[in-house]
Amino acid sequence: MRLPALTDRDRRTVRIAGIGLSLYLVLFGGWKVFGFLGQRHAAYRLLQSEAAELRNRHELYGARVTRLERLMESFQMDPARLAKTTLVAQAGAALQQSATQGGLQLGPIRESLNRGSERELGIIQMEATGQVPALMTFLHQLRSLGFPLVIDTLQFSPDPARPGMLKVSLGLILLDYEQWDKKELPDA
Amino acid sequence: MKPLGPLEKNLIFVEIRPTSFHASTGSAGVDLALERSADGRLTPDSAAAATAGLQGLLQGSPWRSRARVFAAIGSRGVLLRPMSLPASAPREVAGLLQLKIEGEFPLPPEALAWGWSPLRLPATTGSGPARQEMLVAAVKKEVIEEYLALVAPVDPDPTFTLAALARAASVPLDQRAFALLDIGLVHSELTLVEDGNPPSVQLLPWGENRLRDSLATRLGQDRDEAAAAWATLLARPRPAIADAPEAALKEVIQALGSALPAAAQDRPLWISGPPGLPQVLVACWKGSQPTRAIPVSVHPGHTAATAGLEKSLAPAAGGSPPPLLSLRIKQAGGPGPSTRSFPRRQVALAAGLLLLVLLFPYLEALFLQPRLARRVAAMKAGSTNFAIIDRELAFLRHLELNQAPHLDAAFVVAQAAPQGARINTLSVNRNGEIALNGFLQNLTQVGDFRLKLIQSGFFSSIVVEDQTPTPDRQRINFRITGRWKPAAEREVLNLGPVLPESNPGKPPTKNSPLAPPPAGVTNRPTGTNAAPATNRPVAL
Repeated sequence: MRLPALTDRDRRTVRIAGIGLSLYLVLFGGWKVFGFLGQRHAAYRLLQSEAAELRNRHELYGARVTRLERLMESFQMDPARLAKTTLVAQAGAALQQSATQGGLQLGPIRESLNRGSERELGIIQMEATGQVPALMTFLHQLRSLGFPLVIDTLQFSPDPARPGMLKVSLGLILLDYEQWDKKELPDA
Repeated sequence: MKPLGPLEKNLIFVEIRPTSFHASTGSAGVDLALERSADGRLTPDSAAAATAGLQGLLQGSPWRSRARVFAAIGSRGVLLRPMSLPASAPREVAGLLQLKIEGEFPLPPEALAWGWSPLRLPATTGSGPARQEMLVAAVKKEVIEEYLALVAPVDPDPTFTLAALARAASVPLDQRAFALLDIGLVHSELTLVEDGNPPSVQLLPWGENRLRDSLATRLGQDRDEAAAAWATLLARPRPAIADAPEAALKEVIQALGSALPAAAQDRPLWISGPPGLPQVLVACWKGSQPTRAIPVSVHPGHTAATAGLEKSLAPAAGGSPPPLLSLRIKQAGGPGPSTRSFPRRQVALAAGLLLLVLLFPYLEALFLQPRLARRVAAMKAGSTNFAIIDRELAFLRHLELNQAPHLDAAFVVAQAAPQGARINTLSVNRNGEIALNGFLQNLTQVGDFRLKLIQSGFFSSIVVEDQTPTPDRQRINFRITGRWKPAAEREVLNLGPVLPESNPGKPPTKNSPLAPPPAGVTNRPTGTNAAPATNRPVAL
C-alpha cells in the first residue's frame, strides 16, 4: 500500500509537532532527571556533614586516647581489667608486698567496705614503721601499684618503741570503676 | 579560494549549461541533457537524472573522503561588473561590496548570489588613497538554489563560479589578451580578456543549432538530412573536413566571424563547444586573427569549463591562474548579521563547559556518594569504643585529681623547718588540711617557721594554733594547722630538686619534688607525688 505524498503544509505540521513533542520530552525528562539529581545531591551534602562531624569526633577522641594512654602508663593500670570481687584483696596484698620489699615493718591492716559513697569500693587502713627514705619510697610507689588507690589520710609520727624509726598511718580509698558514670565525659 | 591540499583528491568538476549537464572526476564523467519547463526551471525528472548521474560518479569508491563539487554555470542572467574599493582588510571586503551592490545592482544583496575576485590591474600612479579593484558577479539567488539542489546530495557546500571565467583559465597564461568563444546549442558566450582590464562576457544570440540550420539552408537539405550531415561532419577526423561541403560551411562560418564584435577580431580567438565543432570552426575560419580550439579531453563529462576549473585548482609551474570567483548566497566575513558566520563550535564548547560546571556538584554526588557512605559506615563502626574511652578517661582523671600532694607537703615543711626543730606528728588528709606539732627553741623560730611556710606558696593558710613555752623555758611547744592551695595554683610552684636524666625527652613537671629513689625501687613513676628530697635535718 502506497502512502499519499505529503504536501508542504503536511510536512510543516509534522515538523512543528515533532519539535513540540521533542521539547516536551526534553523538558519532562530534564525535570525528572534534575529532581533525581537534586535528591542525590541533598543526600550527599547530608552525608558530607555527617562525615565531617564524625571526622572531628575521631580527631577529638584521638587526643583523648593519647591522654588515656599516658594516664594508664602513669598509673600502671587498665581500668577495664580491674576485677571488682578480688580488687580489695589484690590491693591489700600489693600494699603488703610493696612495704615488705621496701624494708618497712607492717602494723595492723584493716579493710572495710565503702562508707556510703557509690564510687568507693572499700577502705584500707594500715600502719608501717621504717626509715624515712623507705617510707617515702613506699608512699611514692602507691601511685603505680596498679590499683585505683587514693590516700585519704596520712600521719607521720615517731615510733616510741624504736628511736630513729618513723611510723606512718595510712587511710587508703579504693575506687570502684564499675560504678563510674558512663555519661560523665571528661574535659577535652 | 584556497588551493587544494594534497589529501583533497575527491573533486568533481561540473558545468551546468542551459540544456546540458556535464560532470567529471578524473577520467570518469557523465554528459546529460537538461529539460526545462516553460518558466525556465529544470523539470524534476531532469534534475533527478542529473543528481543520479553525479552520485554515480562516486559509486565504487566509498572509502574516499567527502566529495567536493566545483560547478560552473552559464553567463545568462549573471551581472559581471568591476568595482573599486578603498584598501581594507580582507574580512571587510564583503561588507564593502555589499554596500556597493545595494547601490549599483537592481536587486538587493539578499536576493542575489554573488561573489568577487581581485583583479590584477596595473598599479595607478597618483597621490590618491590606495584602492583595490574587484570583479563582482551576481545572479539571482533562485538560480544558484536550483543548481544547489542538484549537487547537494553529493556536496552540501559546493562552489559555484562562472563558466566563462573557468574556460579562460584553460588558455595558456602567456596569452595577455584573447577572445574566447564558447558555442552553445542556442546561445554562445564570448569572453574578452585583456591584461590590465577586467574581463567581459557577452551572450551571442546564436549557437550550434543556427549553424546547422544555416548550413542546411545553403545546401537545400531538410531537417533530418541536415542533422545527419551535421553529426557526420562533427564525427569526422580533422583532415577530412575538406571533404565536407566546404564552400557552404565556410560561408556560414565567415558570417559568424563577421558577426563577432570588433574587439574580438583583433586578438587571438580560442574556441570551445561540443566535441568536434571547435576543430571544424578553426579549420574553416577566415578571419585574420589566429584561431585555436581549447584542448579538452575526449572522456565523457569533460568540457572547456571543467578543464579550466581543474586547472584553476591545480597549482602549475609558471604562475597560478587567477583565483576562482565563487558565487555564494551568504557571504562569509561580511559586517551584517546575515553574512557573519555563527561561531557554533565555540558556543557549543562554552555551553558544554557551563553545563559541566553546573552539573559538577550533582555528578559528584552521583558518583562519590557510595564511597562516602562506606567511609561514614566505617567511621561509625569505629565510634563504638568512644563510650569506653570516655569512661576510662573520666575514671583515671578523677583518680589523678584526687592524688593529694602529701609528699610535696612534707617536703615544704622540711624545707621550712628551722635548725633544731622537732616535729612530733605530721598529719595530712585528702581535703588539703595539714596539721603538725612539735617544739622549737624560742618564739622567734615559731614565727620564722610559719613565715617560711607561707612564703613557700604551697599553703593558702597557715595558723599557729598553739605556741606554749615549756615550764623550764627551754623550748616552745607549737601546733600549726594549714590548708594547701588548689592544684591549679600549685602548678606554678617549682618544688624540689630536678632529677637529672630521670626521663630523657620529657622534662619533669613543675611541681614534682623528685629525688633519686633508693636502690631496688622499680617502676619508678613520673607523677606529681614523688619522693621528696629531705636534705634538711628534720627530727620526728
